[in-house]
Amino acid sequence: MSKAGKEILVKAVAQAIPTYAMSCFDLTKGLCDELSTIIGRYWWSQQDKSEQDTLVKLGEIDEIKEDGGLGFRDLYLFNMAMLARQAWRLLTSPDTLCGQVLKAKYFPNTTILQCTAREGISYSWRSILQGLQLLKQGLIWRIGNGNNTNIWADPWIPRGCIRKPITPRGSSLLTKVSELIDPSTGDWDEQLVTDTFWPEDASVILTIPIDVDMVDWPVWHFDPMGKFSVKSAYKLAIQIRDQNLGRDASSSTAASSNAECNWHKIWQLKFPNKVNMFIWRLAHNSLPVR
Amino acid sequence: MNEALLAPFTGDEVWAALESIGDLKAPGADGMPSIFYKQFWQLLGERVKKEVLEVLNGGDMPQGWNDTIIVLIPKVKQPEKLKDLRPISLCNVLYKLVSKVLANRLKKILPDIISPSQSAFVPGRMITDNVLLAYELTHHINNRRRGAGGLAAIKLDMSKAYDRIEWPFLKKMMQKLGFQEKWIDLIMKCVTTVSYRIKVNGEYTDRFFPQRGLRHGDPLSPYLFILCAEGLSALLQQAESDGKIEGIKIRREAPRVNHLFFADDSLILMKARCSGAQALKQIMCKYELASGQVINKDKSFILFSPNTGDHAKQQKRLIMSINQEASAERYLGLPVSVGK
Repeated sequence: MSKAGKEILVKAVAQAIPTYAMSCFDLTKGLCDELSTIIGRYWWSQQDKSEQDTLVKLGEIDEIKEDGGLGFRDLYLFNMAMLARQAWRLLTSPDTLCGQVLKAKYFPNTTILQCTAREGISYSWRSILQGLQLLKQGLIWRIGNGNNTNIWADPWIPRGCIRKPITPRGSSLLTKVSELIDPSTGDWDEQLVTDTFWPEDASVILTIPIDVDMVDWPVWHFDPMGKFSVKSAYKLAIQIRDQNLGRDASSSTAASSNAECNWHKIWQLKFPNKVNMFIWRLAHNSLPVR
Repeated sequence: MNEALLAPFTGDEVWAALESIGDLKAPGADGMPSIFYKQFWQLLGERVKKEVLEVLNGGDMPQGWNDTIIVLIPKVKQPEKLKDLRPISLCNVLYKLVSKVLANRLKKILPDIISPSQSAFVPGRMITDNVLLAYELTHHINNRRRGAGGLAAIKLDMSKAYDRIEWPFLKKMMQKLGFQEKWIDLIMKCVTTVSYRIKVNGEYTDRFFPQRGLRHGDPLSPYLFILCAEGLSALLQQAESDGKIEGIKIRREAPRVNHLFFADDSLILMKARCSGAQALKQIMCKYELASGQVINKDKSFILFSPNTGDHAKQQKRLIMSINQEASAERYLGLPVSVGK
């Protein structure tokens, strides 16, 4: 089978089958790695040879296509993103039967965000709490009346990286966002905000819309509509992984742009997929020619 | 709600229905896939709309529209018996338009009339909800090691669930749920005017007319099926409020759950008492008799909490005549208990 055919087979079968189980359970890093290894081995195998040199590093086929990979998923991170969706559902639609039962059992008096793992919890709940960690990384509070949002501990300032105030708390007595809102106008108390925060924070805060008739509600920061999607959660998980590995998102693209290669263009070419795949391997210098 | 269901049907709904049918889904008896209609909508559109709307607004189902071909899809590698095959119905696009328009309307009101323990086909509910719930509840059962009052979970497998639905039962169910006579007639028209031919090895059998059953492949069937399953759900809820069957509460504040449905996949949870088992048995008999459903005893299983006495287990098994007691079984394709 051609490499292009294999790509489809891997994506449509090998990587799709576990998704159902992944939506409820943490398949563990070990199992996911094992699956990835099997997929990688299949991908590089050739009919005539049993052993095959891996010409592109295994990690690289996990990159998204624009960054010079093939867009194969990192199964474990995808697993986390699926579990984050469960946590998101519990957070945003608590009225479902499932939401009610789980709430009564694990967080009767608080919200899911305060939950931590303890002894004797079920495996599926433990899995969801794993997903919750990822969810927290991308959550942001929209301000209604400001009563439920803690100024210093909750993420509520809409900007790229750190969504908490960068101003140190110091000896400020303020705790809730509601204290920053002028009750007579229902808008920010501009004087107080500029006095309390550094300009970097204050300028952003003053642009946040307020809806005093609502209770503060959580939204997903990485979507313009604030709606959670597994796709964007997966992207976030990848970003976090790359940060932890010490290569920020730009460096991996920088490495590939050294080769003056615009990966995006390869996949846009209107050739049969086989040909595009050939060019991709050529660009990666991974064609066995000797 | 009835007004919303019976508001005059519009051409836009027909188009929306057509758009949602995949281009090259296997065509029905007339051999025309939906892409044909989409491609030539400018030529055919007005005519198609008119005809479809006529049926929807009370006309008869024209002859031949509801002709259906059954193809047999093997469930296993080497199918030997009929039960190894899954009959899939291929309907005409024109019929599918009618039924899809109806289904689209029906779908909207389902969240209000279907009990929350059913998670299939209702917009806004997800299969994973039931998986998580089932898992949580079995976890609870497995951890009940001490104390009196054992707990039990029973998975019931309906054999050929769709194909056995009795039409009068469906009609009665809809009446009970409060649908208006006109809507019921509309639905029954779609369900009862069916004629079948079976395609085997490229050849067709003679035409025949069924007396019961919903088709796999008709856009309406899933929704009609859960309306029927609502019958069982109601019986179980009643038994709960009469105190005959006691469901399981994970905690004092948690809602009491005594059954979980995903279409025909049902999991019943209760305290392992003889009286409860008797009541359940009665309910199942009643439901089987009325709806035509039959429980596949070989594929059903019971799970007991560790503190259940052997005597109670035995009795319960006898009453339900289900022998398998398994912890490695699956519900909705995922294991019900994982771990050490």
